Amino acid sequence: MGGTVSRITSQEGFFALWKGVNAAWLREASYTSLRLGLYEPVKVLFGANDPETTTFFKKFAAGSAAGALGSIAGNPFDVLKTKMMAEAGRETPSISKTAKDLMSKQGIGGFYRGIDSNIARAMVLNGTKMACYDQAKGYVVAATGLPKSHFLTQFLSAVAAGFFMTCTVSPFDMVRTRLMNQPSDAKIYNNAVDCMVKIAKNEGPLTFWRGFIPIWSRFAPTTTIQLVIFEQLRTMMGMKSI
Amino acid sequence: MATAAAAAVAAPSLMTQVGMAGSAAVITVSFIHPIDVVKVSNFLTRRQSDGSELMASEWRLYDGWCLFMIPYSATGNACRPMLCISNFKMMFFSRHILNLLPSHHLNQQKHQ
Repeated sequence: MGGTVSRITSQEGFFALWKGVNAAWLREASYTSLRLGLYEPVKVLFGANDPETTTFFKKFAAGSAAGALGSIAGNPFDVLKTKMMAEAGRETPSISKTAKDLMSKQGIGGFYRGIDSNIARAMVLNGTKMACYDQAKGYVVAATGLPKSHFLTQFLSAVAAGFFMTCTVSPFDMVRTRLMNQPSDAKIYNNAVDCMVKIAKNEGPLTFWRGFIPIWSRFAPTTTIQLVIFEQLRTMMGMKSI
Repeated sequence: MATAAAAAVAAPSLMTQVGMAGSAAVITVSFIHPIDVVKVSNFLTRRQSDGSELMASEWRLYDGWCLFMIPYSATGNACRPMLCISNFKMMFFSRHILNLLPSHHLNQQKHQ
């Protein structure tokens, strides 16, 4: 990891570490803003007005629905981000150039490559993330007596959410990355289900969790920072905690 | 009246909620993005993304992932970088498995 960082910074400059960050911003501004921001409104829509009586299932359903909507909006930026990060060289690839290239080579379909598995993944990811976060907060509050708006409550709940999220998302992550990046001239998998079946059949079901630790190492900081900042911003704006 | 005012405070607009979430997400990704770049780079060597040859030592350096690249690379050089990225998260593929591969397989890759 340290070697890779020094190699990138020495060969391409310090800011190469933020290569493709504009696509990542666009992705987050579309995908994550919807999947996090819509959670509360969707939960209310599902009749989960009282946090004390709301079931885990309803929380999961609200998170899943928000995740699906976010995924539809964010898929093109997800594809662009992956392509831009993979570009080599000192010059940071432009998002418009990458988009034009993709459009000319694959058409609009290129931006929605792997959309089926992406939606499925987003539903599971966000359902687990928000439901576990919401549920864990209740447990932390009950165990520690701290309020929901307390930083420690939010931090511990976010850490728990990150762990459970990794458990449920790992299989979808593998399917998604394989589908999104398979070559157009040598189709290996027809769709998400076909991909899952082929992986399970050819490589064994445990293959789905092969990347657990690396995925967790990415999810844990992201989920924790994201949820804590989200909650702090909500508090600053005078909103109640999730 | 007071209850209505409290309800109005408790129910922020949809746009505000989405805006707060978006801000949190953008701030977070600014910190996290370098990890993603390093992960992709770790998997996809600079040399691979240039489209040039892979050396046997690099195959060994990137151990676990290479096993996935070996069958896929038969699809052609142009496809190789994308295929490499597709599996960058699978770090836990046993590094020892690579040693079981016939050495000529690596040499064939080297000369492709």
